[in-house]
Amino acid sequence: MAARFRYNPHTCRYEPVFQTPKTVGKQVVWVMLLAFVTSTGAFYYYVSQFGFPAEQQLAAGYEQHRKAWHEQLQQLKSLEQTLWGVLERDNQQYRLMLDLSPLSEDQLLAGTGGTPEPIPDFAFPYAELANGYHRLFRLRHRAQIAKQSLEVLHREADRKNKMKESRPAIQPVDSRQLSHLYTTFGLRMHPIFGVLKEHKGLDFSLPKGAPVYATGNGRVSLAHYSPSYGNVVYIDHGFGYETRYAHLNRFIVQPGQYVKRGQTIGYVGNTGISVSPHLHYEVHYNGEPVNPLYFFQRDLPAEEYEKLIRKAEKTAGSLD
Amino acid sequence: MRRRLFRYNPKTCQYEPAPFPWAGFLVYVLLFLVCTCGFFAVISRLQPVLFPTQNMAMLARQNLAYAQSIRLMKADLAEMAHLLNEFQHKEKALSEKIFGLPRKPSNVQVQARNVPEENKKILADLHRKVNTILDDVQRGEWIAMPAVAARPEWPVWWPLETSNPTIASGFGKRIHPYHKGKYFHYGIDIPAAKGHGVRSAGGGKVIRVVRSRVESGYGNYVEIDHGTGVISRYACLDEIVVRTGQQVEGGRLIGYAGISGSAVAPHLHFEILINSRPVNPMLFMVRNFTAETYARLQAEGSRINQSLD
Repeated sequence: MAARFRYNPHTCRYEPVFQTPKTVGKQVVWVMLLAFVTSTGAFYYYVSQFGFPAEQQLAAGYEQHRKAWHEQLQQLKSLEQTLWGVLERDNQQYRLMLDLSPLSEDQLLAGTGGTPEPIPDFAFPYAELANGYHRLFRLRHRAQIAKQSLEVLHREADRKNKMKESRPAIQPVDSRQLSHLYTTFGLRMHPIFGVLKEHKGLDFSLPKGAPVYATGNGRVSLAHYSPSYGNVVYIDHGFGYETRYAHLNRFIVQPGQYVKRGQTIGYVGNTGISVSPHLHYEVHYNGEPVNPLYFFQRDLPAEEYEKLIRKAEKTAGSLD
Repeated sequence: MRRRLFRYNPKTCQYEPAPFPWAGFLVYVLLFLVCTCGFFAVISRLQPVLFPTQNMAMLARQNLAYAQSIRLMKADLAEMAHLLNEFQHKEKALSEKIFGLPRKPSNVQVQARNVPEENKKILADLHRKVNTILDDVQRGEWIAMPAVAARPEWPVWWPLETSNPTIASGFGKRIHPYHKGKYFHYGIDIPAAKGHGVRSAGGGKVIRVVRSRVESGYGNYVEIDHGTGVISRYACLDEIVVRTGQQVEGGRLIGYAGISGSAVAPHLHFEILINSRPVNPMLFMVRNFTAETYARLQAEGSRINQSLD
């Protein structure tokens, strides 16, 4: 049963109108065509007014990328500042302290002239990217310099610390037990032979059995009985230093043993050519005997030291 | 022209004109709108594929370059940050090796944490007072030392010609670099390269020039008498270029910094004595320093670290 009718003037009758799929499809196609034309028109209008939407998307993406890139450049800047601080302190403080020559300007500013690494091709046409890469490579290059420099500084600091620990620097005996310090160094009348003889060390007069300490870290190179020195310990400190502790009552170290500064190596005695219990202490630097007074660290004010040394230079008695 | 449609009314048994079919029309309008939007989307999607513009290609290339760079840079920055972190640890270790304590950033401002309210006020007062003194110091008219400004011959100049004054170790109890025991350090240690010029801190008469081979004590040193019992002492020098009895004016070259005496690093050991009693030289060093520099030096000098001699 048709719902609607159409008046046919030829037959003077109302004829039913049927909606077939064909008529509906036709209408739909027309609507879609119209929609296509309208949307095409709208697209052209949009493009003429605002530009291509795809371009807009890309531009928005570009803005995002740029923002991210600038954030990274900020990070890079803070890293640069950190590294620059490291290099500056390295140069101005640590090299100074370790008595090393400072890094040259060329080394410090390395990478400003030409970058050691090529900038990647895809980034090359864009100044911002190229600049960032340039800075990164320069940073990397300087970091390499800083790395090498820090290694050198560490090595040197270790060496110096080892030297500080090894160099004879304290008195070999407890100064509270010391009854007399014979500051003779050089020519003096020998107490037994009664002739002028070279005296190569200092004599510390102490009661028998007082402990004797190693004055620096080192290796015991010799510990034996000698007719002249009596019981004697030789310590090789490295860096050209050697110390000898003679006339010991007995020693408690073996040759080849490593000792530390302040370690007890023996006890004061009266062995060998000696007239009373005392410690004969010698310091040799590169094979030459030097005045051990030079190596006592500051327990006394400078004036007192000078007096001691002046006394030591005068000829006076000694105990062997 | 569309012909009119009719509807059969069974009540009146007549054909009446049919009303406009709104429902169907609405369906078509909706269809139209949906299709328009759809086509718009399809066209704008297909356009860059079918008809790409030059600008678009350029932008796409640029975006690709940026995206790639950002990705690479991220990895590089992480790597660098890791490396720098390592450097800072190494530096700390190095500082410990040299000074016997880790490097601290010299921070002038005192951070008051977990301080009770009533103490905060006292702290604030103290800060204000300190700042007033520092301002006075900056103007060169320190209240504690009014006579300093009046006496041009007093040792008020920094004994080293430098744009960046630093102190490695200050006045007071310090750790000895050799025997590592605590002892009283009667001066300040100013790090200086070997051969760096040392200048007299004020005008006066050279009363003592000592050259010593002894590897302990002061080494080569100069004493200058500034009158009224004030004596300045410049120790651990490499070379001395003045004679005993010579009159020197403030800022004159008197020698070169070195590593003599018991020094473990090239530096100048600077002491000031009043009536043979050592005082903190920082009390005198009031010229040419801004408040910040002075405060920084005070902070550096007050650390209980290892001295250089």
